Amino acid sequence: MNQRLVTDPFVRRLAQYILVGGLCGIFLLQFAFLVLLASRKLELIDEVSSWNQLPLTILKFPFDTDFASFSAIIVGVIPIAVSAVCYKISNDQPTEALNRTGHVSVFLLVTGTMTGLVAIAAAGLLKSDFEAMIGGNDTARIAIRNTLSAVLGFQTFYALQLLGMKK
Amino acid sequence: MSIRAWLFLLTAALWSGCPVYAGQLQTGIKIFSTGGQQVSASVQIQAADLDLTSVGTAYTYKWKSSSGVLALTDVAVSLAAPGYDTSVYSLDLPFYWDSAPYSLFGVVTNDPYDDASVQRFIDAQSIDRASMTDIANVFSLHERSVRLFRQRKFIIDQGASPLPCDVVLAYYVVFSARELADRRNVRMDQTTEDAQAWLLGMINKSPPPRCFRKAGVSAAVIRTISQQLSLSESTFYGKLINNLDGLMATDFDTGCARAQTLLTIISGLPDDEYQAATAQNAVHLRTATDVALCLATKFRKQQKTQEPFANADVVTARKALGALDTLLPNAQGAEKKNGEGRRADLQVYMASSSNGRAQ
Repeated sequence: MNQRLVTDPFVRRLAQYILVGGLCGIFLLQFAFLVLLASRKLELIDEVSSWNQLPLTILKFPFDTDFASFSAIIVGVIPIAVSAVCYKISNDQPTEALNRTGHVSVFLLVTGTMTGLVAIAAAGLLKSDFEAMIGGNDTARIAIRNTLSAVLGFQTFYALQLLGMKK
Repeated sequence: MSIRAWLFLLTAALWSGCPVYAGQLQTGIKIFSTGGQQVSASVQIQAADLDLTSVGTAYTYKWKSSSGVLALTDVAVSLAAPGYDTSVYSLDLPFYWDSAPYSLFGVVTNDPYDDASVQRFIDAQSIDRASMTDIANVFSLHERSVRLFRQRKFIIDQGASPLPCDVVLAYYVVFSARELADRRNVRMDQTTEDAQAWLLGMINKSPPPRCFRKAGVSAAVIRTISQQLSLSESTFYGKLINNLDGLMATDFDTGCARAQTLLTIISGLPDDEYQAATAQNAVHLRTATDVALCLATKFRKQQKTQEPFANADVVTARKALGALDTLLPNAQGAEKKNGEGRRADLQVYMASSSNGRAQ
């Protein structure tokens, strides 16, 4: 499989799209949480809709049920498994130089790490608004906080790996 | 027919001629369970001035005293399920409820209070005239919104920003409290007072906070409801005296006994409650006038038969005359004229009586 990621142009391109799309999705989720929390604090929310609640629902999901935790782990492992698509190829072998996908991934990971840190800090600083959003539900609060922490950990680990700081 | 049967018939005949100071309260329970859990609960009623008997979901009551005017009645829900909140409230049961059964509802709920759930609750409620005709809906709306508002207000006090749905929630609290005060004499609870103060605080800001402007709740309506809530106690006492006047027209003695009780209650009210209950002393003046009329009538009869006035009556007469002396200078119109006439009548009999002249 790993060899196909290097040699098969279709598989390689598909994996690159999935990777960048996944990293984009994770970043957007962190960003949406931050925006939602800030909007609530600044009283910019006129009516709570299902769209407002979508980031919270997704963030709760990985730690909501046993099956969900398993799927979250799988989703976290995939980018690591397909990391070969982030490097340039020479003689059908990946080099240590990052290609465009690698650069975009690093950018998304670093930005995501920053956003994740701010999101976790905001969840602590704006505790009352966060509590109001989830109605003092401890299970939901812990699930969301754990997901944010897990995502931050994944982004840091993967960024370090892509930057060659972790072998 | 045996002697026992004759005695029974005689007793029944005697009883049928006596007025029965009794009534019935129908109880119901409304359960809102988000987890789909099966919950069973029942409504419990307690009142020190009433003899209560529970028959299924109904309570029949008898006044312990035939001169009872209002009975503070506590309603609670007994429930054996964790995670639920139940309604607890107090109401003033007036003597004129004897004429028809009144229904009281208990509410059991575990509504979650996160942003989305509160918004869903708001969206699902309907407070149109048709739905509010059913008193069960008013109890449900009040108890559920009170519970949610209490929890939301706690978080808001901790620093969370209020949303427009919180404003609507507070509006539901005061709206339903007004309905319950008007239709069931339910006393205002602390959460309703908090909701009222919170809403008035927002209205009085210039401009009102964004959440209030976006909530679509009218400031004028809130002011009106708030005013009605503030006057609910005096409205209740006003109904009491109106019904007492009606009772005196049909059953003078019972009406008089109850008017005397009402005068004692009003005279014993603490200052803040007195002002809220008497509507600028109008209720107090009418009650004192009624009592003066009652006692003057009674003294006239007793004077004819040369029967001495009872000390308790003399004490009550002094109380009524004292109230009239205080209240009449500030009264106007027919109330003043009527009061002065009754005071003059009563003063004549008090002056002619040996124990009336004493002190």
